[in-house]
Amino acid sequence: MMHGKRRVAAKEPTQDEKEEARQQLEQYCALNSRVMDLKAQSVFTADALDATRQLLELNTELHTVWNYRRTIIKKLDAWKDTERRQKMLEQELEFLMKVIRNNIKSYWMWNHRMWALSLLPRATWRKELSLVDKLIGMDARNYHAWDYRRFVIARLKDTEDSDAVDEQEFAFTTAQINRDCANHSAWHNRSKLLPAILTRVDQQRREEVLQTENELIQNAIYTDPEDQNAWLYYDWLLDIQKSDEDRIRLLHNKIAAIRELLELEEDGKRPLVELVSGFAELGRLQPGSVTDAEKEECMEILRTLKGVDSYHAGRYADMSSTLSKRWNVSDLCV
Amino acid sequence: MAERELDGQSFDVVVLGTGLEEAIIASEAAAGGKSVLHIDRNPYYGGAYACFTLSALIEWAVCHRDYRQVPIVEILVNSEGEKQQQKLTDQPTFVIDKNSREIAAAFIAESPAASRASEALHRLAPFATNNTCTEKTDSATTTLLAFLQNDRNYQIELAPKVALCRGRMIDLLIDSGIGEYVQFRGVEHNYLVRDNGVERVPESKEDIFACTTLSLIEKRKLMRVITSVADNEQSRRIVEETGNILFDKLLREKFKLDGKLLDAVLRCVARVGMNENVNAAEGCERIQRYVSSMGRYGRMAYLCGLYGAGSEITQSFCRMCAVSGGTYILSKNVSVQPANDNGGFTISLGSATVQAEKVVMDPTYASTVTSGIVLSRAICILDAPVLGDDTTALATYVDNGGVVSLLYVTQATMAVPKGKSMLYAWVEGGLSENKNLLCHAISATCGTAIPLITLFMETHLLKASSSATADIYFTNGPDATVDLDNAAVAANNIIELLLK
Repeated sequence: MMHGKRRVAAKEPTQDEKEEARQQLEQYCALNSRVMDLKAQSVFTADALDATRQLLELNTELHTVWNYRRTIIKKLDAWKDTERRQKMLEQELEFLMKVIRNNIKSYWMWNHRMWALSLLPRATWRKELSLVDKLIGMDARNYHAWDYRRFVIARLKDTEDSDAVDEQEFAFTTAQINRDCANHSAWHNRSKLLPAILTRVDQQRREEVLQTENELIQNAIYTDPEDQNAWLYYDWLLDIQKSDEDRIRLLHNKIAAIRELLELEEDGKRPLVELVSGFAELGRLQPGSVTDAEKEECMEILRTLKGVDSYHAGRYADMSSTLSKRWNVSDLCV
Repeated sequence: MAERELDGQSFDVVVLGTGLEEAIIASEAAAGGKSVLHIDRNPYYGGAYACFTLSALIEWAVCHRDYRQVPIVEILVNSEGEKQQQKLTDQPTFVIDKNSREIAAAFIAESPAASRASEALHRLAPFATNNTCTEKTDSATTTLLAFLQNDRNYQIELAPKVALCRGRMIDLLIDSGIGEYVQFRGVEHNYLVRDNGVERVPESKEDIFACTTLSLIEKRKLMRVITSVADNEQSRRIVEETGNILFDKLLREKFKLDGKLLDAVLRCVARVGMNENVNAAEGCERIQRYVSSMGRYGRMAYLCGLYGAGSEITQSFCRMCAVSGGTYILSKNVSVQPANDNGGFTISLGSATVQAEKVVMDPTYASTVTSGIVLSRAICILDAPVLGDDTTALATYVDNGGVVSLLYVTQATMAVPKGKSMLYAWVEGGLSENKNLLCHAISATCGTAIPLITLFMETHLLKASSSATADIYFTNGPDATVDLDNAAVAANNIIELLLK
């Protein structure tokens, strides 16, 4: 489940272990049918709640049981009183902390946590954020934790200075990317934060911020040109530009950067693809800006790539046929 | 064990010297069912790997028992104490050499143990150099004597070394179960030191990405080395294509490395010495060993032993040998004679004589020897930690036409008390040619910290000149490498022959 952890080969279970597993399975099935019976009979008591707890501890993926649990909680007497509700939901969060250890990547568990916190009369979002920090510390690429982080941050912004929180989060993604530049969750979160930051600042600061982003991307590309994260972020940065002029400027930068990289390593697959798509995009935004020599170079690159990278041969052929029609040059991939 | 109890006994293996290799061999032989007698002429374990307090080290230097490989030791004292930095070359220096040793040694022989080192120093004071003004020498003597009064918190290793996380020594420690008795700490960083400063060597993709002192082009070059050389398959192909040229040349020509990038890969990671010729295959293998060592016990590639790795490991193996029935005698001079034409040896220890089928010895016990590796070492006690928050670090000084290995330790490895730090530096070759280089290496690494006491040593390893006699096996002393793997490999080879 975790990144960078070695998988331990499963052993053939012994007779004792088999027997134990059979008994556990029997108990689980019994518990499961008991909970389903209770639900069918619309029982909403503390006993029923306890039965769902036992079952969910064994299996976090029973969304029906999670739903049933929420219904029970809301129908208990304690729900009507704010203090008792607070206590009940706090217990619920503790219960979830126990379940999280069984399966950190359970959608239903995370959904339930969001529900409990949203209805908590006095929620402590800072505390919740430190929990997320811990989870990301354990596995920096756990996208459940990152998704949940965005939820917590959104709530935190209701009570704290929203801009400051955004800045903190932005710095957090920088730190995470520095720890691991192939962390897609961190790049993605960054792309979620950047637009808000860009709308707040003046033109000069905007240029500076974009310059830093460019440097970060280049840094990642030079460190590992075959890693897709920085390239995707490049594309995304292109999307959020205000005008086509800005986009064209960024594309020229990108093409120049790739040329420099290719001087060092002429056979990088990903940089070559990116060079072709850079020219394709430039030609679309500013017809006539791509020279005939550049067009021919692109077709030649696609032909070479098709030869050396058989897994993506179809993709190169498709790019080649599209561009040959658009640019009216001969398709070298046929 | 009393000598007379031993008299007339026979052993399968007699091991002379309690250095690292001998200890491993004795322990494994005993574990393999052999009867083992392990003897050292010194009153301490470890031989050339021993770990001393400063006073014990002075005593060791003055009363050296391995008469054919006596070291030259110089003790430099910052006569200003902790107040002010003083250039190493200006510091009063106590020299323990041929001339002064006898005077001090005679005195030590008749002094009570507690005051031996300081008494010896008093005797050495007139031989202090740089003593243009006696006041300075007096103040240095006072500083040093005050230091000796309270030197129990300083553990000085004769041969400081670290363990490669995926190296032969660690494998051996795990296989033999000795690992449980020895404590280690990760060597946090690897530095490249030049006269104009100290720079961290980026070791992983993350390090390279986050590094602010490398240009983009440099980052790409470094990543290419790491990804292609560290890959067994790719590096094999590269070596084949280039025809196994020198590793240095491979890095320059194939990977276009130069300047600090070349030094970082060649000197800090592959640890190629100044006059060492390493071919591409061997160089790639060294990089692979380094890279594969990272991540085994944390992100770093090396482990540093607490209380001195070599000496602690040695003592653990000796303990293990004793547990398996081995007999130990320290402070005993021995001589070895072939027993008769049918093989075997007669070993005399003063009044007792024992028989041995096979003998393993450190060459200092051999009858005829030639000189082996000469090493120059510096040990520098600093008034404060240097290298930021690091608790232990490895560094390589590359400048002034030389390459010096450095090991930095702090309280975290129990080498010095809190608030102080210690720097070891060593290079192959004599002290007269290398002292200046060692001074440069220390000054460049320690920055503004004040070297309180600095020791320079020239040690001579011996080589047995004949190994013609069957059933005698010679070990090696600590070489210039930073890790303990050569000792593990050499010991293993002898064990295989012994247990055959």
